[in-house]
This record gives sequence, structure tokens and C-alpha cells, in this order.
Amino acid sequence: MRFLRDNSLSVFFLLLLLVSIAGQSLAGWHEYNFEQLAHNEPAVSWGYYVTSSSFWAAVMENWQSEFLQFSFFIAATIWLIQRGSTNQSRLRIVVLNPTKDSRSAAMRLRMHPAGRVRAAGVPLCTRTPFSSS
Amino acid sequence: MTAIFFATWFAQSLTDKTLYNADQEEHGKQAVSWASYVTTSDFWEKTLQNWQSEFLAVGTMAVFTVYLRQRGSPESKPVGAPHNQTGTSG
Repeated sequence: MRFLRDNSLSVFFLLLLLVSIAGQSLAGWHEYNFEQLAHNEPAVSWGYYVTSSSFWAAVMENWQSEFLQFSFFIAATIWLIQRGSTNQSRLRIVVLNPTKDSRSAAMRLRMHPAGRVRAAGVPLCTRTPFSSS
Repeated sequence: MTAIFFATWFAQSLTDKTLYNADQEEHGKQAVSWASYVTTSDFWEKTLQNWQSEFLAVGTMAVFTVYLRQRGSPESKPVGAPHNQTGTSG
């Protein structure tokens, strides 16, 4: 029970994955056999279908694009920003010229992230999209 | 997002029905209505093929974020954070 409570998110998605891949194999098997019969070929068993390249080509086609998508997303969020989105690097405020004004300048920058805050033409601080971790 | 999901799923059913009926015609078979197309194994194979990989992706993301790190990415815990550290939200 404790295991389920601690891992409910992954268990939930694992179950959804298993149910939907089972559904795909059943629907795909029927479709494959319709095609076989239409071409006057013998129908195949479910076991034959789920070990066929027809089934695994369809599965791999989808899996590779998912991993591509997440890999790109993880890497792209290092450098790219979408203001207001949770999926972005924590903005690091870098104080360039520490003065008594720099703290309030950093606060202004946080609220109006225009890039740089200057006081009398001197850059006080800037921000970078890199997380501090 | 849910509204867009239903809209695009519906659009998929329309475009795939057109493809399916073109194929039916080619084989000298009767075209099917939308209502009967959405009960075919053709429609559900395509749909579930996409769904299973989405569930796989989100599920592995949930598990991988426990153990893997990518420096600088907000999708990752800080490098050096312990595996048992859980994020908060909301």
C-alpha cells in the first residue's frame, strides 16, 4: 500500500500504457487480418501479430518521437524562455555593479524583466536564463 | 487543452475516415459512415498507438526525473539533489 501511495503517478501511467498498448495490439491485429483476408492471405494469430514487424514498427515509430520530444524539451528549456510558463529556467539576477541601489534594481528587474537595469547609464545588474543549479 | 484534444481527435476521425473510405472504394467495398468508422479497428489502432506512447513518455519522465539530472534545465532537479527529494507545485 505504501509503495502504491509513494509511486502512484508512475503506476498510473504504467497501467494506462499497458491498457492502451494491449488495445492497440488488438485493434491492429483485427486490422492486419482484414488486410490479409482482402488479399486472400490467411489470418494470423494475435501472438504472431505482436511479434511481427508490422506491430513493432508502429510502436517504435511512436516511441522514438516521444523521446525526441522530451530530449529537445529538456535541452531547449536550458536556454529558451517563455515568460509566464512554469517550464523555464529560474532567472538568475546577476549584480554587475554592487551598490546600495543594486538590491532594488534586482527587484525591479524581477518585476519588469527588460534585460538590464541601468542607473545613470551604468548597468547595475542583468539576468541570465541559466538556472543556478 | 481538453477542448483542443477533443477537437483534434475529432479532426483525426474525419481525415482518417476519408482515407479509410478511399481504401474501401479501391477494394470495391462500401464506404462507411463516420459513426461506423469510429467503431472500426482502423480508428482505434491509430488512436491507441498514439496514446500508449504518450503514457509511456509521461510515465518515464516521472520516473527518470527521480534519478536523472540535466544541468541548467528546469525539467531537472538541481544536480546533486538527492533522489528522494520530491518537487512541490501549485
